[in-house]
Amino acid sequence: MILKLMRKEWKEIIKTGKFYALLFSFLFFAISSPAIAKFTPEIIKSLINSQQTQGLIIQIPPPTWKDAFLQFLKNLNQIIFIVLVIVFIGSIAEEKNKGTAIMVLTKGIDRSKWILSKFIFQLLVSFALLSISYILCLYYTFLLFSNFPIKNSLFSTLLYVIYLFFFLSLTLFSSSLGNNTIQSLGIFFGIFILLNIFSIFPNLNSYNPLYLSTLENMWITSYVELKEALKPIISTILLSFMFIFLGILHFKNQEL
Amino acid sequence: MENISQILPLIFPLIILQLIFQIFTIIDLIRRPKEELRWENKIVWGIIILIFGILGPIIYFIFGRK
Repeated sequence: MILKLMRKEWKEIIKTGKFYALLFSFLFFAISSPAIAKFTPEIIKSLINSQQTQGLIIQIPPPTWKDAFLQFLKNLNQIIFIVLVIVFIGSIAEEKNKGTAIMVLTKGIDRSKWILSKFIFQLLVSFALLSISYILCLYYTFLLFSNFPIKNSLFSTLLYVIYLFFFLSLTLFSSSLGNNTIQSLGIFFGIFILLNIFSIFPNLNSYNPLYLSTLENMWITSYVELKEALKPIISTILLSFMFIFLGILHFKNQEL
Repeated sequence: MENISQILPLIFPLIILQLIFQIFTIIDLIRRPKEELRWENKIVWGIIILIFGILGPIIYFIFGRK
């Protein structure tokens, strides 16, 4: 049943064209990140030369593979994050709003299965796209910077996968609560801002899901003790399951 | 100028990729009936797709349809 619903979801995402938005952003930023990291110092250098600023010495360290992956992670946490949330947040709320959800659910499909199929589908699509873009980024970084250790970038991308799981579950939760896309986006970013405020407290910070993005960068620039990473990973996964559970619970008791 | 000729072959795939995305999106825009588009205006969407670089196609596919 869930597979059937997921196939329907796939057709929908192709038909509305939202899949292309995801595909374009993942592919483009995978290739552009290493390129930007490589060429930014050169562009600055040529700007300085053309301005003939004599006596002004600006030292720019030569770019490394680390800059490429830092740029990649920055794009993942900003543009791709926003694209993913906007594309997926409407899937439940808009169907409720348009009334297509009632049509499907009156056919005897279990509500929790319906909502879970959407969540699993979103997770699979974004995971697949993330893997492709990571491999592309790896390949292009390899072309531009030659040898480098793969382990660091792999671990930080895996941390992003956990972060992805978290914000997709938050998407499900806010989409279940809101009646349309705008409302759901409001709830989503409301909770996001709250988490940002919580990160002020140093005691709570290591349990904050947003701390994962700091760890991603740390894993590229230096080394992270596994013990230190374990706290936010476990709390993020627990929080994600809580959001999924609450989202489904609210949706089950909701009047459509 | 020496620098630019060194950089160009490496940036080339990026430019090509962006062009492919833009052409793909423009073809979708031309084929789509006007009534399905937000604001029902193909010229506005065409301009958005062409001038915003990579963001143009992304904006079109997220917000372009009703």
